Amino acid sequence: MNTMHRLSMLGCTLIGLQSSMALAASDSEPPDNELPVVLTPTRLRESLANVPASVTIITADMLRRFGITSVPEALRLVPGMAVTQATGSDYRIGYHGTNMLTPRRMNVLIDGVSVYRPGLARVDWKELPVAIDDIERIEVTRGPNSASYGANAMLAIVNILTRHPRDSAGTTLTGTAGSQRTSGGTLRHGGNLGASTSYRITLDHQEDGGFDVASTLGQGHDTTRLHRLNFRSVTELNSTHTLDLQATVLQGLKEIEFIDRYQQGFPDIGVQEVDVSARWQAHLSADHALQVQVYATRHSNAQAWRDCLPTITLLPQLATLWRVNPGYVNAVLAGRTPSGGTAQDNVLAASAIATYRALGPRAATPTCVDANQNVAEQRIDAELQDTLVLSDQLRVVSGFGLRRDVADSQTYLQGRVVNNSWRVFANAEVKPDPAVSINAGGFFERDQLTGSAFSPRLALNLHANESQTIRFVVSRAVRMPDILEQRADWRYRTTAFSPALNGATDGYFYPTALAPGNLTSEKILSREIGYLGNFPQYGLLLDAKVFDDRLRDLVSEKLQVFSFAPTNRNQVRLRGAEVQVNWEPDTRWKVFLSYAYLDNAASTLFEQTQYSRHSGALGVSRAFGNDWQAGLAWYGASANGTGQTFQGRTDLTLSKKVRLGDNRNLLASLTARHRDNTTSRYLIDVGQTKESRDDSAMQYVLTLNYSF
Amino acid sequence: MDERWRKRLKGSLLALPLLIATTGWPAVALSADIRQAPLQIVAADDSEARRHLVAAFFRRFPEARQIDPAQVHDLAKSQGIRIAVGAAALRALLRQTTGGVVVAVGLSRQAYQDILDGIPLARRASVTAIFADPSPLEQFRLIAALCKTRITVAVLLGERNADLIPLLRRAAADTGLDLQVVVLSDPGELHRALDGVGSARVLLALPDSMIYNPETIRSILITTYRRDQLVIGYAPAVVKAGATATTYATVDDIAAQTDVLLDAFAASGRLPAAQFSSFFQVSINDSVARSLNLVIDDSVRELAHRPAGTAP
Repeated sequence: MNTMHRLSMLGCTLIGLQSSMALAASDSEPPDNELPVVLTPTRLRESLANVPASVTIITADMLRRFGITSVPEALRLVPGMAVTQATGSDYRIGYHGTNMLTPRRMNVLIDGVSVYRPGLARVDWKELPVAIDDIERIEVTRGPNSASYGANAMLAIVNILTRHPRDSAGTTLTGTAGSQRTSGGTLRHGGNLGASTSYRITLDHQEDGGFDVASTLGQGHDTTRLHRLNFRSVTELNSTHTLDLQATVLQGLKEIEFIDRYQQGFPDIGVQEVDVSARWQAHLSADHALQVQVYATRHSNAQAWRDCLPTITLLPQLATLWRVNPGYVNAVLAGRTPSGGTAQDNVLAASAIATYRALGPRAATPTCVDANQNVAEQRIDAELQDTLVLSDQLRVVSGFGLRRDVADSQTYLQGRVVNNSWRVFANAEVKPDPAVSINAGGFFERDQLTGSAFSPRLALNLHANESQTIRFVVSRAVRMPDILEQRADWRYRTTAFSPALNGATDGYFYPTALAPGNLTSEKILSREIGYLGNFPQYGLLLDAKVFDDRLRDLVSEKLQVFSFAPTNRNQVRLRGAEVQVNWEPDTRWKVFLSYAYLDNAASTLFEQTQYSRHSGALGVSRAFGNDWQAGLAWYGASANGTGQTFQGRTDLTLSKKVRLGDNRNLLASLTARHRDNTTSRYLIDVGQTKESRDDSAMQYVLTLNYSF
Repeated sequence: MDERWRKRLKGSLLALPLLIATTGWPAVALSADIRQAPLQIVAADDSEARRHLVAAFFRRFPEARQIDPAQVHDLAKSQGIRIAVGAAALRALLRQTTGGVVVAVGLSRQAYQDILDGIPLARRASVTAIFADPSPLEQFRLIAALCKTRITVAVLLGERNADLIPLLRRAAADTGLDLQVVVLSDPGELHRALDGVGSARVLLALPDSMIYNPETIRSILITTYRRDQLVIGYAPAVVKAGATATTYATVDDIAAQTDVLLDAFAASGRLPAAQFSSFFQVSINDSVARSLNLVIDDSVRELAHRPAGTAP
């Protein structure tokens, strides 16, 4: 039957939908009407029982019930997720923790767009380009998942999915106010453009004052202030083709609490980001679908300050000496005559000392200069994904992608560094028997700076019965070193000298750091045995796993301009068990429980800086009559020997929905938060910790949401 | 009689008076002797679906005769039982001032009601029907078996079907489920209504052409699936399109139910009210059900109630 004929038959059948659906057509069997199959095999999501990983899903409903107002705070629900708020504007988050100085082993996607920054390998949790009100759900795949999600999904992947524009019709106004100078406002409007396009536009402002004490000056200086504008539209080009467009502009201020003795003001960061993405999906047939996603992001941090430095630190001769022998520079600065180096070192040291002495009285006067750590990071990514359902027993997802990462920073890189990469991936799901599901997949990537890597995964899901599944997963994954680790050329250009130095008004601060450029990828071999129990008769969904992860070739060193020596010399073994329970005994009660036990055996202290042997969360909510709801949540993570403090927190959220008629609703929500420990302490270097703290253990947040 | 059937029978008996109350016309006594006469089957068109239904009636009632709609007027004075297959056949029969009894099959409750609304009350007394759409009570039982716990079932209804609400409430109460009903007066309210029931676990679709039609069914199925909502469709074709499951009556179930109805008529002398078939099968979209993490066990598959002597 040709396509046109089939289509015309479908049309006829559709016109007769009412009557033909209501009539049984064949003798004793269900009628086989030629209605279009809307939920084709390629549109269907994998069931939890067949997913080759342990997954935590945080829904918008959970965020509301437990009074959660940010993605980082939501992640405290995830078993094994280490969440440390170092300062008000700085979250350090990693699945199973490890290195808190630079947590960079977990990828984060928002509607398929990675917010893992390519230049300095970080996720700015406080500045995610998504308003909490727009989030439909957060899916966290706990385990290496490069085979499905691509690069840098080494320890886990956080997949944030926003509300579909079709589900955002109408206007919503949200206002938030609370302790710690917290305030926010969100305006969202959704509608339709013609019959086939739905859109959503969101304007969001959020601000909070951070901790009461979070700075080297003993005061709170960790405010975050953000403005976001997001637009998303989905166009049904026809019944099988969909175009999803999205654009986000973000602008904000992150106060930085750390200030050294020479800085004349806090080195606060001005943030700007622009993201655009387009995703085209084509369901070519019931069993074959294509998806093309193209996105571009540009994120820039503007961080400038004025320093009044000892004049000697700006002498070019000192910078030259640093490049050949940093130890000599330290001796000169300490007023000692350096020794033990080469003859050339001695000559350069003598030159530096002579130049310094020649300054005469000027040498005693500090020189004030402008300095900065500005950095702009761009990513352009294109990916084609093909989904082919060959039979009920075999489904194959494959594709390839291209990416261009650019980091631009005078300070860190002395310019612009590009890292082009390409990738291919495939995953086959085989169901040889209804009781068995096998996932075999791999992801191969090659980038300019590091080379190539292959991340395979093999998983076996055995269904003991309709309700219970046992899962065996073995996977390898990598983290490719970032642009700074591989191409750092770090030195501070200083300008606007006051007073001028030897007639010059600009120059460089003396230290420099050059990346060795020989790093290889960090690697993980992960083994997991999982259990999924789905007992709807009790409203119970239980996921548990034991795991043994070996991470090697880790770049664990703290990378600074004074000390920049990255290696692949470290390793860590992570073993433990996790359990996650969703229990909904009836429509009123909802319970969420998570617990993780972790054993971290590392070759370096740095890989234990974010390490809680015990961590977990418990959330209980109940709906009452007249649209009242109460939610009680407790979060906890144990302390460790590197200085990390115990974190415990209890949140009580009460909400009331007032129905004003004509689809107008007012939702009022009050959250009272008690923290068992008002101090957040963390290690910043060997033997050194920092802490942020609040004066009060109690915090309150009031949210009003009006929709019409 | 096992407990399951006892419950089912009790439910059906409970539903019947409700149905009488909601449809607005009483069962009226007629001569039950006409049960002795051969059935007269009137099918107004020759579609495949109608042919299947007619064939099922001949299997169940081999002595039946098929009457051409063009000759319906010849029946005017006879006292037989006429099986009107489809809406057109029912209209053709009702245009006659015939004696006898009409049992309409092959049309939905909504279509039947629309036709009955246009005829005098006196004429309605000799007309009854076996609806093609599934019994709401059985649909609720299916939902209870699928979800296995107390959940909220949302139902979107056009104003013309608002009279079903008491029946739905009773079915929800009998099965221990919560019900959320939204009545729409205009098709343009559909998306907002869907948003309004977004937190319900299940959307129970009823054959209401204002809501479920060729223009909307795709959007409804995709929207509900995106939200992890189950759709309980009202026909296997809807299940195949992407709904999770439904109960449905086959043509043989309809014929068997007609037999039961006529037996009841013969025994009591009162023509039973229009009703849903108490015989039905269960259709499940296994792929969708798995994807929504449902546990499909024997309690779901064994819900079907087949006429005696028929194989699963």
